Amino acid sequence: MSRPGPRRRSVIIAILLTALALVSLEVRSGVVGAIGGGVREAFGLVSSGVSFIIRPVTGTIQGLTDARKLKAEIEELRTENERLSKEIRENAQLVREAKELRELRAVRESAESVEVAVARVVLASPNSLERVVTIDRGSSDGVKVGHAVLSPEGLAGIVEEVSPGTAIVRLITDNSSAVGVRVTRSGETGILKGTGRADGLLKLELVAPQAVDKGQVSSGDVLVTAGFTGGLYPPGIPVGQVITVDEGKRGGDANVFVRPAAGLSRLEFVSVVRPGSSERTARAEESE
Amino acid sequence: MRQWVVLAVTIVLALAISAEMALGLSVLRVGPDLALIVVALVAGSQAPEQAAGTGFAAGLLRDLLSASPAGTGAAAFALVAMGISIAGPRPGLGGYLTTVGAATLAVTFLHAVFAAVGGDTTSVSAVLRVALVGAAYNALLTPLLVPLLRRLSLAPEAV
Repeated sequence: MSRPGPRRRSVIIAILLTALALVSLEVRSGVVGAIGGGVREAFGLVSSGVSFIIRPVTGTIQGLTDARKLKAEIEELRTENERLSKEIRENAQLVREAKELRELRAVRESAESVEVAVARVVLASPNSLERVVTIDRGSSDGVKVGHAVLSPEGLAGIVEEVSPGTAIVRLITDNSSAVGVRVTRSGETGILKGTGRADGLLKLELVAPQAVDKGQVSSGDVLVTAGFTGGLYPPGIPVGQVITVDEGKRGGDANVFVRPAAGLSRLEFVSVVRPGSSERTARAEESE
Repeated sequence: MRQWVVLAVTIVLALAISAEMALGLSVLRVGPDLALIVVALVAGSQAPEQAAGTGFAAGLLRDLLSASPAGTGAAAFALVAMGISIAGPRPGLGGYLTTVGAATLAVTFLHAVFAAVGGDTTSVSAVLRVALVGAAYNALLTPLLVPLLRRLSLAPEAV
């Protein structure tokens, strides 16, 4: 293999130096960040045209895969039904689940958040190493870095960057995502982290790991945002449900995996919220 | 000049379609990277410096649409495009598939390394999954893009 000539060596050095300069230019807050905002807004327009053509195609393909999923889901539901029937006979699980649902409804209603904007997801990152999307609302709509982003089912992510007309949202499934959560049944708290796993599950790191041994966290438990003081997320937003608790590693090292409540692979419309008393709730209380 | 404009429009459209496909058509949470396919196929018929420039521009645009530090993807794209150019064109479907597959693996690993240097780490298993699934996905889409790129005179004709 021949060694690169001086011209090629200088091209390689120029590439690396330019990249380094861009990275060290405080990429998002300075000039590069402003350019990025402009590019995303322009791409939002291109994307509208592209999605007009592509979405029917992707929708059809998704529909085909969904049909297979539905069949599998029917089978799963059948099994689940048998299991639940058995549990109803044993009269325990259903009572607990009903209580949990009531609690979830209560915390959802009491989620202390103010809606900043309703936005449409216009782009997903072409880089599969990260889980981020671009929404069509930005700083001119009141969206700020750190605002929480909700899907109709629950927490989707957090605003990472804003430009006047767009914002980048880091989804809770992203590797670097971390959300303070609370188990509705037991009140146990922990940090829910993105894992980058193919199945999209999140990992729960409990503040008190022994809670697993004490039965304070188990499969089926529902998690909501904890709303820690100084935290970014308003309290009481549904985040996910515990799917598996690694039985083999109990005693401090339990692996607790959680399925996000939000359907993050089919995000279309989202709500951007910030912590605070809901004006709507306040108005409703006043009128009562 | 016309060729550069055609190439720029093709890359922009490829990025927009990739972003759209990443929303609804990801496989194991990995979307296709049509811009990388275009860069990899075009680089074979460009001089190394031109290929590096094309790769850098496409990678930078991709960085600006994502949350990763601008410049990390650009450097990865530029080095890989330059490598493809130095290696020379590999016409024929087998050659295209190999080029795109290898380019996807190389870009994913390089991008992960550059991002890690910038403090944005990803688990090794996630990088491996994205690299392998991405390479297969991109290779699968390559036969669909080659005729289009040939029609636009962006990819070399098969020998």
